[in-house]
Amino acid sequence: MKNSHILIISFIALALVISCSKEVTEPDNTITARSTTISNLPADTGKTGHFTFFRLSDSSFVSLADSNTTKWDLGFAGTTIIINSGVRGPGQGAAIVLRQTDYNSLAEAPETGWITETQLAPPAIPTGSDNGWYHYDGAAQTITAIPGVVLLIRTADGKYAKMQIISYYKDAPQVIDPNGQTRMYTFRYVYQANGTKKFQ
Amino acid sequence: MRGFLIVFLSLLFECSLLQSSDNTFHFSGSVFNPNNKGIPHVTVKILDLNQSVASNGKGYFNFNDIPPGNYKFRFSHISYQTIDTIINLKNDVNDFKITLSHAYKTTDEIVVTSTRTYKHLENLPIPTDVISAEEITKQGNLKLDNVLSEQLGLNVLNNHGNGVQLQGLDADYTLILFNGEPVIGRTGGILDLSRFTLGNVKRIEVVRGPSSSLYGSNALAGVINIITEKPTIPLGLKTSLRYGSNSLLDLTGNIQYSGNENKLGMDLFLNRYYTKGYNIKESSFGQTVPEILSHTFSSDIYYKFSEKTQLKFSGRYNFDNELDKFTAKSGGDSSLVNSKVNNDETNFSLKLNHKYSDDFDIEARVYRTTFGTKSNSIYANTGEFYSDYSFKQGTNKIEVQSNLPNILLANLMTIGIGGQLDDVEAQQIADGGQSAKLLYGYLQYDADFLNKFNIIGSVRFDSHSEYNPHWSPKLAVSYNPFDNLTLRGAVGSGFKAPNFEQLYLDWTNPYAGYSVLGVAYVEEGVRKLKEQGIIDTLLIQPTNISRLLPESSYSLDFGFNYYLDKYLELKTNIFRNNISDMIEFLRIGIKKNGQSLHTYANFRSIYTQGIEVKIKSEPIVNFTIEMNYQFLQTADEDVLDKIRNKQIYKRGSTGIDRPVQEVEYGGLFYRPEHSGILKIQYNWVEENTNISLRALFKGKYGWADMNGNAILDDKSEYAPSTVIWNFTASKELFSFLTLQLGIDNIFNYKDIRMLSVSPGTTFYVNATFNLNKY
Repeated sequence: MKNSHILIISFIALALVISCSKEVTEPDNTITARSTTISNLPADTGKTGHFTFFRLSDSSFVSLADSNTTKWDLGFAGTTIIINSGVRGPGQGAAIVLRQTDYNSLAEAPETGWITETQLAPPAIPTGSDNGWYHYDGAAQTITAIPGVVLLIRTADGKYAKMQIISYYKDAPQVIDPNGQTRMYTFRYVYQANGTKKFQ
Repeated sequence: MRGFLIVFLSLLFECSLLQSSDNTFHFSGSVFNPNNKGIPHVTVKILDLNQSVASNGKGYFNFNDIPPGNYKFRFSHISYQTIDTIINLKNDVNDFKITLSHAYKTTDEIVVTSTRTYKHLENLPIPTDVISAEEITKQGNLKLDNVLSEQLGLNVLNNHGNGVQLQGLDADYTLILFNGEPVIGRTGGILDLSRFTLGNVKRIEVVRGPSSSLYGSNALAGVINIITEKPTIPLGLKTSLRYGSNSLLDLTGNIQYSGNENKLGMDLFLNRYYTKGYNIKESSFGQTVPEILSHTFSSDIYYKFSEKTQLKFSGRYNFDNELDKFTAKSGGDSSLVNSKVNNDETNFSLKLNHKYSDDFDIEARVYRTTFGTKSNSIYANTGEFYSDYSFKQGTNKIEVQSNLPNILLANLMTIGIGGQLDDVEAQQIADGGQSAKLLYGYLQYDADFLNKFNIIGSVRFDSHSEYNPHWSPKLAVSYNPFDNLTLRGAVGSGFKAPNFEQLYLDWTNPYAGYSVLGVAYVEEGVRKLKEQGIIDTLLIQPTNISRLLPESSYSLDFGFNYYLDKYLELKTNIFRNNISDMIEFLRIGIKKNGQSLHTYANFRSIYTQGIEVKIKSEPIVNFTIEMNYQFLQTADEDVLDKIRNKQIYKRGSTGIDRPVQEVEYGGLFYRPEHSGILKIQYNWVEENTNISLRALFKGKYGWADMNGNAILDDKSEYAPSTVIWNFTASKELFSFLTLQLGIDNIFNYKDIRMLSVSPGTTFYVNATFNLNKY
């Protein structure tokens, strides 16, 4: 009888899974360059099929009538973001989707890998969940920016910027309501006016 | 039995020594266990005088001043069988001796699913649970998903119907059997368990751990076998009526007949079920549970040609209509769509069994099953066509199994061979339909050694027309060091064959615009899409896509059953499952519309591991309490690799994007780390009343990705822990009428995250009429 108790106790002891919980370490927030943050940029909220055009150098909107000029750098409609080149416009625009990168500490854009708008679909910044800047979650039915993604943009006039999408929802809420208003971009960027690829 | 004989003989011996004396006598003696050691704390009671004493450390007890006469003595102790004995006291007794035998809470349960042979549940090396018809009735469970949701470690989830997660593995990985034969008709891998009504179910057996070594594909996490009533009484009539929340109306009728000296038996069962359904979350996919009207007809018939030869038939037909509405959005407009879904399902099996002796038999089985679903949706206001869909699937199976005794030291050797033909017809399957062939054989060796060990080894070979041959072995050992303790260990391998969709799908999502091609069809499919000019870029050439392998697993489990005494039992199981070559979408190209072109490939690996503990106790007679707990850990091995290689990022609390750290990873979604079930039952015999209360606990679990990296790594991604309380009270009014009241989810918990499929508090009343002629 006693033997069976010992057997059981040793069995339980053997079975216990000991989980050591380690602390999560967060890196320090060392801002290397001053970002411009744009809140609630409407990206075709009426679903008319038209892009909202935006210029990075002075953070201003460009009217639809100027879509065939080099006045704009980025166009937003739904989850699609286009740049000013190729089939989309007359500019020198190009983009790189950089992954596994911290936006803050990224000091320089790469030399190679720049993609232009050679075709309507897929665009230079790929669409579809996990292909470009966003993840669509089927369970939560939400669209969220993929952490670690930095969009590098060459503007219509050949200048460079680094950019990070923060939210696709109005007022960039911490907790997203799947029924909340979408197509309202919040993003930040650093624009380098001197034509180099350095963001320091 | 032996203990009883000893008592009887010792009594006989002792009583002959009694001699007459004066007015009052004293009566003393000792109580021993079977090893001749005294048992302390035995209550010795003279029932007629209502006097009792307890035995001391050496098992000695003593009564003084007992008047002469015939007395009934009761010897009771929690760990021993109670003995009543009548003693004629005529003189002093000083050295009365009695031996009590150990009492453990044991069952005579015979199970069939874990070995495909009749086996005692006690000492079985393969973890198996039995849910009896009595338990189903007392808990008021109506459908298979209801009863399984009240079992430990079975996590019922609502997604394309109510499927069950077992040992942390998805519903795709559990094989569902109806009277031992596989059930088909899965949507998105989920077999909707609410298709099975429980009115004529005799027992449900749940086998945990891989059983592909006997059953082949899909039996990785385990096997759930639904066994229906076998007619045994001359004439029986049972009808049952239930009315409840959400306009639930369930009617069942069951007729049993057996006659001709038990040569012929028949059981006919009819069920009609209706619910208006419910909705716990507005979504574009329709109601959580749609309005359903379903009918089930099922029948079991046997005929005994002789004592040795028997023919058994089992048939089932299930038909349901579902009515649903959802909102279709196109551009800025949304309009209401009415949808109608019809499902129909048949299962027919015929078994011819011949017994050469008690443990030598041969059985031939023929089985045919079909499943079909048709849906049709129209715009509510205009009546215009919106979409339709149809799917039909069938399986034909023939199998011969023989059990042979006394070969190579085995108690029983089991050999089976079989062949199976599967076919499917659906719009989205290449060429509108496909078929596949399977040949298989299995062998099982079951032997006892040294009276304490039971070894069961089995292996199955599957040769399939669409994937490479597959071997599935399993070895299970149990060891009984003591009467009340069984140690178990098993190692086995399971597999899941690629399904028709993974092989032959030819489908474009009409709303999102992406396309999926099955692997066996990918070359042809890509060529056709190229001809149509739909493909923009091919990332992988179809000729470089390799043939699909079955998903395969290996599993380990260890555990024990321990019976402390007749009122307390403890069962534990520790498991680990590794699945590799899981079949997932593979992106092979980009379409001109910017959407992806997918096929399937084997690449993902996951593991699940955990501990199950079950304690069952009867602290007071007729009052039982069960406490069940499961600890579960899961992970996607590829995600773990990516985390270790710093390839998955998150936005940390300081706003900096950084790699996810391994401690933050929470494993697979929808798996609560802690879950448990508490069951309390009281059987008030005098009032013919039974009360049952169950608390179903689920700890917090990953629900959805909220921070964009597609894995579970953030506090916001967990759903909170929940407890759902269910209650039933039944009273037998007359021998033929039982009334039952049930409240499910007493505290009205609703979970929009679909882990729980509860609509909130629901009530029902149930009346059962039972007329039997013996």
